[in-house]
Amino acid sequence: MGVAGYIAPRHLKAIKNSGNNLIAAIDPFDSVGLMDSYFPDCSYFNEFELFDRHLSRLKSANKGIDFLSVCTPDYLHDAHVRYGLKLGANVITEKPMVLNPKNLDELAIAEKESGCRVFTILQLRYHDIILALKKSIDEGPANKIYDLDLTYITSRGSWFYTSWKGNPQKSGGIATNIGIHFYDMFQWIFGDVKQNIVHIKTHDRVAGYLEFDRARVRYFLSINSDTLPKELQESGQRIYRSINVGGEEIDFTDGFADLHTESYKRIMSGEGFGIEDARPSIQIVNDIRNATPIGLKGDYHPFASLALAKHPFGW
Amino acid sequence: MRAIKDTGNNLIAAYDVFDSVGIVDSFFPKCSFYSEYELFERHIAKKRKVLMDGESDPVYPKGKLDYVSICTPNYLHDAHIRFGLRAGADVICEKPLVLNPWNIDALESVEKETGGHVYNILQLRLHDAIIALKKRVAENPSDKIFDVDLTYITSRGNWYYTSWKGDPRKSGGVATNIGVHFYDMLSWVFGAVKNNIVHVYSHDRVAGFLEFERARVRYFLSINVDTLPADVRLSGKRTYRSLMMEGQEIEFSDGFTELHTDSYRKILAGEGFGLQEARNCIQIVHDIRNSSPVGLKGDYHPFAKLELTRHPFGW
Repeated sequence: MGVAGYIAPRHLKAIKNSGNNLIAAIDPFDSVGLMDSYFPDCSYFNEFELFDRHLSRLKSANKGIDFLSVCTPDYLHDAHVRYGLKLGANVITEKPMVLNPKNLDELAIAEKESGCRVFTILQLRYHDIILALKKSIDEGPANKIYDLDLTYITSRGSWFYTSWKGNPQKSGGIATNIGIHFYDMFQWIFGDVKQNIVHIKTHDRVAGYLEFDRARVRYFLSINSDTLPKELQESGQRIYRSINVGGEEIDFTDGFADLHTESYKRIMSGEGFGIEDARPSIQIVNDIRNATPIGLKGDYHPFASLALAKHPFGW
Repeated sequence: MRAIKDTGNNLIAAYDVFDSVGIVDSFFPKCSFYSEYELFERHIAKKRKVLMDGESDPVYPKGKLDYVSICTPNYLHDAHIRFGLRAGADVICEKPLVLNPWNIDALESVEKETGGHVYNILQLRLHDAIIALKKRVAENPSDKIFDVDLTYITSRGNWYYTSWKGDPRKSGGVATNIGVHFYDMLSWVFGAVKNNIVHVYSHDRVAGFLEFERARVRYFLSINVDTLPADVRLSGKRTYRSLMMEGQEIEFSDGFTELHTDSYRKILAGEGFGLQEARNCIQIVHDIRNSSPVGLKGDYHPFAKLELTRHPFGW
């Protein structure tokens, strides 16, 4: 579901490269010719009723689908995951699996009722550099608390605010939309959250402090190109990704290409990430979304003090 | 977008009902984007007022919108061309410029009223192999009539029929949607149409005979993978393009990548293809669309007798 969207090509590729077949696809937007490069025989619908009708007919004929892949706008994930379960299919959904932790409780019930499983894509957990980092932390002294700075700036033009991504009701806001996989990675490596403080939170950025069992993390996430370090702005680069552990930079710019395929392969072999794996990061972004920013107090990320920008739309 | 950028121009505002437009960032990160026509129109109208009031606007250094580029579904071209002209701009429109010949007459009067110009992308006329072909024909004795077979099969999956392209009221059908630039090329190279006969016409193919001043052309256009020659199918290819003249293949598979940029360059240099240049091909596809197929009679393309297929949607 959501085959015309930005992330869909990675799913098409992963489905194909894991030796599977795409039976049917849906998207309200019909610019989907890319499907021909992967699954030229796939059925395509731009109305949900017809998609549902097609899949239920297949099911009645004992040719029902095994998996439903969901890469729709974030606020629709919950509805589409439930749809897949009701249809008797296992579900693979993009992150965030849902927007709120309470959705997970209800999904767990739906999962049990259906006898099927829900999986989410948490591809950073398959990234070689991240795996190596986790290993070194696991093997390090158990009582050591690490100090980390995460800076992630991925510039977006003003289209972002016109699209569903710019609507916090639909995307969950910046922390959820561009940050969820980082929060998941932190809790996966450094353990439970002990403290979650938000310093700055606007339409284009979020800066805060997260304390885990084994780390103190200052983070800054932004989609505003004006927050890029000067030298990057001048070089024309629009993305900046930096994780600094105890003064040491971890470079993980590369190695993302086939992580969706890896995720699919693991799911097929019964090692996918389920509802409870998704829960900690969804709790974190939910708490950030509902927090009241305290401003520039305490231990904040250095970029938190950058000048704020007005929303580009001034109707 | 690439042609606009490569010709040194700037995209100021864009509109699409579909909001998965992050690709804009790769070309014009400062571009305004609208998913609702009213807001796009309002934006352009406000900027236009700035021009008329004589104030300068930092986003529009010349104080004005120079061009509106249109690559919307075919049936909307006419409406969007009118929008561009009334906004005080010249217009660059994808092929087919419009669906019916009388639309061109009406657009002519709007051109006159507004003082703007409409240009059509007819990129095959800029293709080296086609230019060479035109030259070759012109150098032959003027009473020489060439025998030509055109075969163009570009396989499309089921999504095609769900999308606007599969709706003949919106796309004009297969001849218009995948063939209009070939008909333009044929009439550009071989002169005026003397006879237009359609042998087979269905949702997935069209076969016919076109007599031009200097050529007798049998053509076959199809989006059905089953109509590919067996050896092409076996090789896994999904596209087949062949132009045979007097039993000799005219090779023009390559050389397409830069043709949009070339088209923009020509338009900016005052050498664009205007309304009248589009008339022949629009007349041809209109006549094909409204003709009654005669079946396998007379001089038809050998592929015309391939077995017909049912429409994939059997509600």
